[in-house]
Amino acid sequence: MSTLLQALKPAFQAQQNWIEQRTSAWNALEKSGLPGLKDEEWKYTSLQNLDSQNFQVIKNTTIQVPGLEILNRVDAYTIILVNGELSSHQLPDTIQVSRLSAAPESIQNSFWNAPSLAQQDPLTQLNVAVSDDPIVLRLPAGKSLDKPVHLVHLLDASQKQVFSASRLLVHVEKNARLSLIESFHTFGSLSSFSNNFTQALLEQDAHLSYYKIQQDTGDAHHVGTTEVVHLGKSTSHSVTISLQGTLIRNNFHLIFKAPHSEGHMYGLYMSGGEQHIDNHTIADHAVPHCFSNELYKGILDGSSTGVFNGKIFVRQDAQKTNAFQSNKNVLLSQDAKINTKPQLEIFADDVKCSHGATTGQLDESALFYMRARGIGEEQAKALLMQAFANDILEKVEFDDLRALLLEAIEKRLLK
Amino acid sequence: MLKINNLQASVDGKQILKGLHLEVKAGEVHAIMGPNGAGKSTLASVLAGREDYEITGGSVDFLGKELLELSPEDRAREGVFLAFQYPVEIPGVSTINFMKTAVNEVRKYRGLDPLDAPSFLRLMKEKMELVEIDQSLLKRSLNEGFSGGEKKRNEIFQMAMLEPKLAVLDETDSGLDIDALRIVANGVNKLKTSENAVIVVTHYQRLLDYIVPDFVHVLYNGRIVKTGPKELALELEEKGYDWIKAENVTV
Ligand SMILES: Nc1ncnc2c1ncn2[C@@H]1O[C@H](COP(=O)(O)OP(=O)(O)OP(=O)(O)O)[C@@H](O)[C@H]1O
Ligand SMILES: [Mg+2]
Repeated sequence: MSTLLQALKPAFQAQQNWIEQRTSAWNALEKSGLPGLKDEEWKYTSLQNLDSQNFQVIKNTTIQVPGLEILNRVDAYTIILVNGELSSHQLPDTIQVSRLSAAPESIQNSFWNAPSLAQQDPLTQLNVAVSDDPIVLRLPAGKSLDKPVHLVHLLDASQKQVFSASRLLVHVEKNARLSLIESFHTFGSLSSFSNNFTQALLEQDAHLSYYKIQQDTGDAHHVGTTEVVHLGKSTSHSVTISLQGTLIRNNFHLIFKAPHSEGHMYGLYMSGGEQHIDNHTIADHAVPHCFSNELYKGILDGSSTGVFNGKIFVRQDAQKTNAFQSNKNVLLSQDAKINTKPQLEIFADDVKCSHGATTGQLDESALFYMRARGIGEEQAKALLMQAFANDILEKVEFDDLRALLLEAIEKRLLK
Repeated sequence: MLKINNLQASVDGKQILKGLHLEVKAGEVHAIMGPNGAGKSTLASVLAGREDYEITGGSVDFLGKELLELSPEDRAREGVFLAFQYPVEIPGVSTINFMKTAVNEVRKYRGLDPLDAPSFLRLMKEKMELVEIDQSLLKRSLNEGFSGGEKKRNEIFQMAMLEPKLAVLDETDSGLDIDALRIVANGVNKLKTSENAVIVVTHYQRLLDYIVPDFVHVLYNGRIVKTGPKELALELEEKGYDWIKAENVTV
């Protein structure tokens, strides 16, 4: 068994609830092992380096968070997780938060039976097996909040290499509207590995705005899956912004189970140095008349690598599907690399689908034009890159969050 | 102000400028005419510092500095301005934001503080009026989806904002309707002082009715082959370039 699984087995064995589900997930994982490059889904992202590290689950820690910028600047209701454990939260009464074990049985069932495309994924199995009692966030019918809910994942890597698994279940009921932000932060100089699984169920006329913000300045590794399930006719808007982190693998699944639903997926990744950022997305159309729209953009520098894999499934019954996908990349250095792969599997005939991927360098004639007006080369590049990134940043609905990201990007570009 | 001496430049191994001489003094307006492909835009691009061109000989003195040794941005900061024949579209960057950056970068080079927002807006308003350009245009992405005429007018707006010492206008008149031509030419004239100079590259006498040149040069086959007073433009308009070509059979 791999070092990682060996190290994490006690965490699985210590779990007290959902034994059946956890055991079957762990057994499958133990049988398959962590995925290698031969696995089609992990062809370009190697977990080898992670597998050999001695990560540990570290519980009952408290960390002081001196001036976490995103916490200070982004006005939100917060839920703080430390090393994967629920630490504190500040939520209004409108929204209900509980552990899954304490939730009504109907809710427990609805989550264990929720449509998912991640069951076969070894890293999701790992999450299911070892994560704490899942956190359930429930926004009742007709409700909305005046601010987003911000789930802050803190990892303490100051003493040991830390592994954390957390699982979040979000239920947006009929006609309710929720905005949710997840962000990740490692403290300490050792490496961290966060493994998260977020499932959101949207009922009739519900709306979810979801933000995943990755600005983790530590030696952070992250493999996470987000699934947005349109159970009733509903809409979703999601933005994944990956700026920092040693290794990132984001799986994002949009699952349509009710006709006339609409989901937008946006992503921006900026990598440099030796960073590796992988976005695997799926838009799964199982019912007719749904609309999925996807735009991911990447700026890659240094000898960093990026991966974009965008799947669109249009199943037989999903007539009148509209599905669009686009991935655009700019390579700022010779050694930066991107593997981009759109993957369309269409089994219905009356559909509109399109996809496109571009990878290029900076537009030389635009650069010259700017320089000919007195703008220095670095500044000109930064302006062009900002404009490139802005297509995604403008999808961030909260001014404070957008400003924070814009600053981080500017700083990065004018390094 | 500008002394071009025996300038030679090639692109992709093809010699385009073949020993070009030109002197421009402060306060002067020079027109450069010449057949398609003669090298007019090449000259303009080389002066602005486009790196696609290889300088194979000669020198360019601009106010005592060797221009060819400066980066494109430093040339602009020293006061060289090129109005592009084909202005570049830059999605996602508004003209306003672009100009704010440019003006302040130039100011920084000259040891000045950046303009604060109200001063910048005041400057912009003033220059907008000068070239009669609409603010809504300047809020849009730079040149993106602009009509041909709008792009040219935007070039002159940028020139007005940057107040260069030497402006090179590469076919700024092409694509302009009659009214726009007059407006643009008036703008150029209003910006003209005894301290600065303009080189207009054009195919048409029409523009020179408004921007009256002190000298007209014919650029042909990579060289200035004829220089005359403003009447030379009229003669060219009437007779075309064949007689010039005949006088300058390539060897
Ligand atoms: N990258 C290139 N490779 C080869 N030849 C080039 C390249 N760029 C320009 N040229 C050639 O250089 C010559 C001069 O071009 P230039 O644009 O300077 O002409 P011009 O005098 O401005 O013409 P016009 O009046 O049509 O604008 C042309 O023959 C053109 O085809
Ligand atoms: Mg030309």
